[in-house]
Amino acid sequence: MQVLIVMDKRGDSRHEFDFADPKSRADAERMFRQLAGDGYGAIAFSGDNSTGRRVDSLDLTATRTVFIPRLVGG
Amino acid sequence: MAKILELLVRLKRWAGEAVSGPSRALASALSERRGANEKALALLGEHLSDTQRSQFVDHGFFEVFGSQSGARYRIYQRRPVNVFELNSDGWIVRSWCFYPIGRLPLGDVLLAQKIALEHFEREALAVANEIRTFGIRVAP
Repeated sequence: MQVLIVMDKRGDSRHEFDFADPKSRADAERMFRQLAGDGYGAIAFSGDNSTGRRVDSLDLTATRTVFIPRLVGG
Repeated sequence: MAKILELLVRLKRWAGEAVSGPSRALASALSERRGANEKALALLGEHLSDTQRSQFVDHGFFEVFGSQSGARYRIYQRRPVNVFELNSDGWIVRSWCFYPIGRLPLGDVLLAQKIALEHFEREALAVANEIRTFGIRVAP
């Protein structure tokens, strides 16, 4: 199972998908597009969660993808 | 006498509602916020390296290196201004203020800042407010 983690005011919400299953993968891709359209940035992690890579589309090799909301200056 | 008793009953009811209603809502909100903070700190912990985790536990900050400049940044567990750029001698040369939108708990803010500096530093600093800082040295 792969998980998409979305930061929110409750901490985060986690959504699990099985990329081997076409329907589940399509749902994950739809969710990715929705979040990207809302301005979220996505970072994909595989194994060691301390280093990841920025992605513009669903990374099928990632074990988790973290979505952070748009950044603004304070 | 009956009127006084009725008044007392009404006052008691009013006081009870005034205290228990908002208090319950406040307690619930605080509990929810505490839960969100714990959850966000747990997520942050999952994404820190061993060194960063030790720094965070021992000193309340962790350090990251910018993905493009290689600059060293120290991210403190506080808001609003909590990101400091250090030079090689450990002096603060700049403070940066940026955060993700959406009233996120602090742990999420720290993780977003870490991820941004480690993965898309220039983009993050382009939206950040910069505060020039001189003459402050921090522990190496």
